[in-house]
Amino acid sequence: MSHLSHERLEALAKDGGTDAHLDSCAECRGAVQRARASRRLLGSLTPYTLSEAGFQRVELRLKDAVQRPERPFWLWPALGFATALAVVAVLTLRPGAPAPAPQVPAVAAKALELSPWPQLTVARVERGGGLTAGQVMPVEATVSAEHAELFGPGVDVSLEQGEVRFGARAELERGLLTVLAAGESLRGGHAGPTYFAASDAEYRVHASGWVSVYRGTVLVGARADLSDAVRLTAPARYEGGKVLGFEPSDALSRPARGSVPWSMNELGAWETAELDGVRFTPPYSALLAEGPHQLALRKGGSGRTVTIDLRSPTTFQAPPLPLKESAPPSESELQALQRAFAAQRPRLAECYEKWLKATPQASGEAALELTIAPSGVVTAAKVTSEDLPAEARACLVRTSRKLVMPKLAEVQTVELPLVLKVKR
Amino acid sequence: MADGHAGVRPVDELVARAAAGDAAAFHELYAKHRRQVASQLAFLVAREDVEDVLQDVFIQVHRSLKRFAGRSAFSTWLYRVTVHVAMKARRKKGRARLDLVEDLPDSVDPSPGPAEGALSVERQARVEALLQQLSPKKRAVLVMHDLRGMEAARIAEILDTNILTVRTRLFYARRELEALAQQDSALAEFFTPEPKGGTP
Repeated sequence: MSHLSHERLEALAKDGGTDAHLDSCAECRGAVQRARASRRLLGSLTPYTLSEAGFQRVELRLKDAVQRPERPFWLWPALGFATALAVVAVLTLRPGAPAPAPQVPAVAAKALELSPWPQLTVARVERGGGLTAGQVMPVEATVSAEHAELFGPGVDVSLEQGEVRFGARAELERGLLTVLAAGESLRGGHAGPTYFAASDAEYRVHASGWVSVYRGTVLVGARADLSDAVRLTAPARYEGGKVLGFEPSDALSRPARGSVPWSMNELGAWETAELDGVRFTPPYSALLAEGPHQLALRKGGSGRTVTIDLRSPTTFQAPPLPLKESAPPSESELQALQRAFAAQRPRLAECYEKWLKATPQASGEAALELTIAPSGVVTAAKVTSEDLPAEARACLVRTSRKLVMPKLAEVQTVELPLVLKVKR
Repeated sequence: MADGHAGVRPVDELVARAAAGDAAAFHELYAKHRRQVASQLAFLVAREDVEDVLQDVFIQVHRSLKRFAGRSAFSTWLYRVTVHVAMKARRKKGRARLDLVEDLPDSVDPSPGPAEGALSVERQARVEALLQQLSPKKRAVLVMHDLRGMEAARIAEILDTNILTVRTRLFYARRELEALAQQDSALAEFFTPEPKGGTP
């Protein structure tokens, strides 16, 4: 007996309907019903994807991965038996003593990395409008598609710099950020020396002068910030929210040639940062010339000042927050850490498996020191071992940084003794 | 490069730069395609593995780009890499991650049923767990066909196999899906036989 063709069967499953053949062929009937059920069941699933943070983590790890030279395949001899062996990692948790600053392992690069600011330009606006309160002046600003993606369509923004403030609404179209600015409370003021950026935007305010916009802060809701800047060619005189005129000032000159915008994505565990004595405000952007700069990081009573030598396009990784004398984790936290670590132990075991492939007799002991933020993110990992080769230690560090630990009351450093041996 | 090969398309400039070792171009490529790849990985690999596998996909892309000659669209090539890495990743992790598989609760809330559109969170988790019990090859075909609505010919192109293989895998994948769902009281109703000659 012949059966329905694949195309006919799928058409019946997709579009419904029936076929006389189905009455006499139980096999085809079953196949159609299964196809319909499968489509219905799978079609009702809600898709999932990664969070933005997840994408960023992958991006950072890719940077690391693609910069490493590829290992020739012959260095990993196939050891079939290795797959049949279980890896024993004897893991016990004990709170580590607060580490002195120099011994604290480096914070993950993502948290405190200064990098060149992506291009941000603000286009010239139409001339002739006023910027008194309530008036609307069209301003066009373009942002890179990379940043436009962060905003989503239709976001409320405001431009702010020093004492100059514009209320605004931004609408995104195909990566273009169009800012409709309404003068809210324009007050004269000087832009700080670290807030300039190359931009050609200009506001014509009344007919009596110009305000050149270089960078300011575009606040997008309460979530994302995009630094833009405002630079006055001259201080504005104003009265009752109305600009009356401008006075030339040498203090408001173009930034020095050679300066490029730099940004710091986040401060990590630090609370504030100052660059050359000027507060480095969210999102921690500044126009900096190449060369040495003083970066001061503070949190509570802790602080650290370092000299950073910026040479575009290199990046600089700020130092980690020194650990303060903290209370050891509670018993419940320890148990939670233990459980979380046990659940993720196979990820570390994969490092051992790699080592075993290269060295069949591989075994050894190591001390794994993890610094865990209150959010449960592993901010630092260090492996100390006289037995493990550098490759295996690096693998353990990389993997450890990806572990997801439970939330804690405060930053904790825990030490995990690892015994890597083959269970026979 | 015009090599005269039939069916060879001009390679996108960004892809070409990335293939030539331009790190910035590669990261741009990642930024451009990461969401697409992550979306394609959904249900091919377990939810908790998407991040790791996404990374593996792009590492594989980085290694293989030099060999991409434009004989298929880059999106097709990327999809092929994604599916192959996903299948491989699953096999690799099957050994080591058994202790990470969470048990689903025994009970299930009664609604919504299959006719009410989206599944409840709990039912969705059950279906995801069930999909992970299929072999990677069958799961890939089933997900691409019945979830993403792709034609068998397109799936064959992506998997670099022939259409008959795709149809065979689809047939057996559905049978296994049905058998597994029948064992789960929360999902069995999806596979309740219809009245003879009826339409759902």
